[in-house]
Amino acid sequence: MALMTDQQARREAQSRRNQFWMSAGLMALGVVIAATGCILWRTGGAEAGGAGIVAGVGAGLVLVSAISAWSKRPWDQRWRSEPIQTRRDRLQAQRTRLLWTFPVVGMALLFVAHQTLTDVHDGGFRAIDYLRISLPVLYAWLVVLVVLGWDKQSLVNRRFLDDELTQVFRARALKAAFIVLMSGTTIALPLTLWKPEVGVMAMIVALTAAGAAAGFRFAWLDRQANEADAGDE
Amino acid sequence: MSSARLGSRLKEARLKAGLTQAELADLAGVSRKTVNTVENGVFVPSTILALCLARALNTTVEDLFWLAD
Repeated sequence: MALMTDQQARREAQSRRNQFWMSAGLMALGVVIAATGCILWRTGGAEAGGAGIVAGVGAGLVLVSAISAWSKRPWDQRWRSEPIQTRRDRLQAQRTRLLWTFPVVGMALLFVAHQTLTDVHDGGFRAIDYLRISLPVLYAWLVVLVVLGWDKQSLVNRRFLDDELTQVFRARALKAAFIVLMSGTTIALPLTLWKPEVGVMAMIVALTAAGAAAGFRFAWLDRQANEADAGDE
Repeated sequence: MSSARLGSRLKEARLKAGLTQAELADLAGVSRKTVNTVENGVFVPSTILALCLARALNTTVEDLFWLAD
């Protein structure tokens, strides 16, 4: 089984250290943002909803960067002389976990978008509402970027994450997403003509569902391939 | 992704060469999962991959794959 060369291993180690410290920095920034949001929330009044969002974004940043920092911790023994196949398996499994998780989060954010849209229609519009309404769609984009292999992880580790099986999964996942997108927007069109506010929500649902379909389909195909995987013989 | 028309002798050829799936995957530059899914008939390899597998096993594509019908 081929191992990484010393030079590759050194480069990898340096990259992991950089990513660890970057994540630690982001975690500190998240703490500051969350604390600021909490303070504003307590002193809030009319802007309390916006402060809650800021606190939530800060807390989310802390959580995500803490996970990232932990996964890149330089003292972890598993980094030492990791064989290429192990690294490939680990990165692909990591991608599949993301593709199960991100669409679920995106779908959950639909509820936030729906609530905000209702508030907007009732006349309670604030600038932060643009972000709240867009969140599920932005998450859907994130999923699609991972499926397409255009996220940073895939670009950096292309030789591990972009093999032929992945390309087949990608084509099938995008086919599923396209069908969901076409169906969703086809339904959204008459809804928009009937009641524009319902149409807007239907459009958000269609875009989110299309992104989720891409992610779930890709992850499902990967799961099926793993089921077929009878182990090394 | 799979095809009943494709016959495969990949596993036999790999075992005859004394290679594990991971070793063959390394030689062909793909994941072990890819080799496994080709062996199990879940995934039909492209021409390029079939040629890479044949080269890694020091044989020909025709020796590894054939049309079943």
